[in-house]
Amino acid sequence: MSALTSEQAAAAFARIKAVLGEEGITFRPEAPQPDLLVTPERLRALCLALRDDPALHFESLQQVAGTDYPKENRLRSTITLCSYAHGGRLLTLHTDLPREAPRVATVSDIWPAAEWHERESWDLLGIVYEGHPDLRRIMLPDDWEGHPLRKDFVEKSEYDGIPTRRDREWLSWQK
Amino acid sequence: MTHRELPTLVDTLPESAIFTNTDIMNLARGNSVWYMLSALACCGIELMQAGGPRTDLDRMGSVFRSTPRQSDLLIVAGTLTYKMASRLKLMYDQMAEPRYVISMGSCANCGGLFNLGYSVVKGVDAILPVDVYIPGCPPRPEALYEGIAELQRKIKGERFLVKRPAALPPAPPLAAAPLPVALPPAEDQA
Repeated sequence: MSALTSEQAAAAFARIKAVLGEEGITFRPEAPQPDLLVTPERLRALCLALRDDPALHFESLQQVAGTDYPKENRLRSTITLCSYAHGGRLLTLHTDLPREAPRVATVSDIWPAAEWHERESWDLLGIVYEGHPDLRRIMLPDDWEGHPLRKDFVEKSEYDGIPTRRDREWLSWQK
Repeated sequence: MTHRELPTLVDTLPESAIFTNTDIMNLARGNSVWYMLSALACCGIELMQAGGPRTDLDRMGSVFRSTPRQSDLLIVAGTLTYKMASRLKLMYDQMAEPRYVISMGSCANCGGLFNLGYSVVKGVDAILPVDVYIPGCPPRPEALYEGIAELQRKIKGERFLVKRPAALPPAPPLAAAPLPVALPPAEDQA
């Protein structure tokens, strides 16, 4: 698998423009690798086109990731797609969401592989995927409070009766 | 060529010896430390290796058991997360006394490499009373072997028929813990 070459990216971007237009989609051909920045409203339309259009045919979802940018007050949900039909080429989609209410439509009905990835992104960063069939924590315990990969996450003093302190002074029975 | 006669156990004993019940029981207990499989991370690979032919814990009388009901020793091998902590405590509670715990590797000792993480218990001794700590990341099978030998030494020095203190004293109050929020007084049901 490899990223799109610049010629492939130009062809793919031209195809997306022909199918969907340019509204809400930023084409970035010269980034470290060609990728797309899309508004949350246009994400599902873009994903459906990328999967179903025979010239694009990204039939496989590799990952759904999340990133926190506290200075710019946004969270970014990143989807990496792969087209095995076209020689394993990769394409990345970014969606920027406001940090206070990060809500974006799910793609788990388009690619079922996204289901657990979106649960992880909800678990660790708090991004809400609307329409997800089973949006609950996947890594952390169900009664965990907060989303620990956010930069402003503050650790509680204990979890389930177990202190989270790093010093070992409180272990009095060790002495 | 005659077969060299090996001394038997009886031959090695002195002419007169006094054994107490404790000595006999400790000899039996110390040489049959059965351990439960609780491989939580990469230390588990070394734990499996220690049971393999090169280190061969079987020759010390230590064999693995798959159930806490038959185990004397819990080897916590690997990174313990908060999510796993309640499960591990449940397994420990199911073991019959006398029971022992070996904390194997840096993660089990103090959180190790993941000490700064948000999800890792900073030492198994936060939830279980640990008898032997084995340093290393991960410890070699030889180190685990030495840890079990150390535990055997500890068991053989115990006075089993004497009542033992409670397994875990109550945790002291936390200095940094926030004060509980005072609830507002209930309104009168007029």
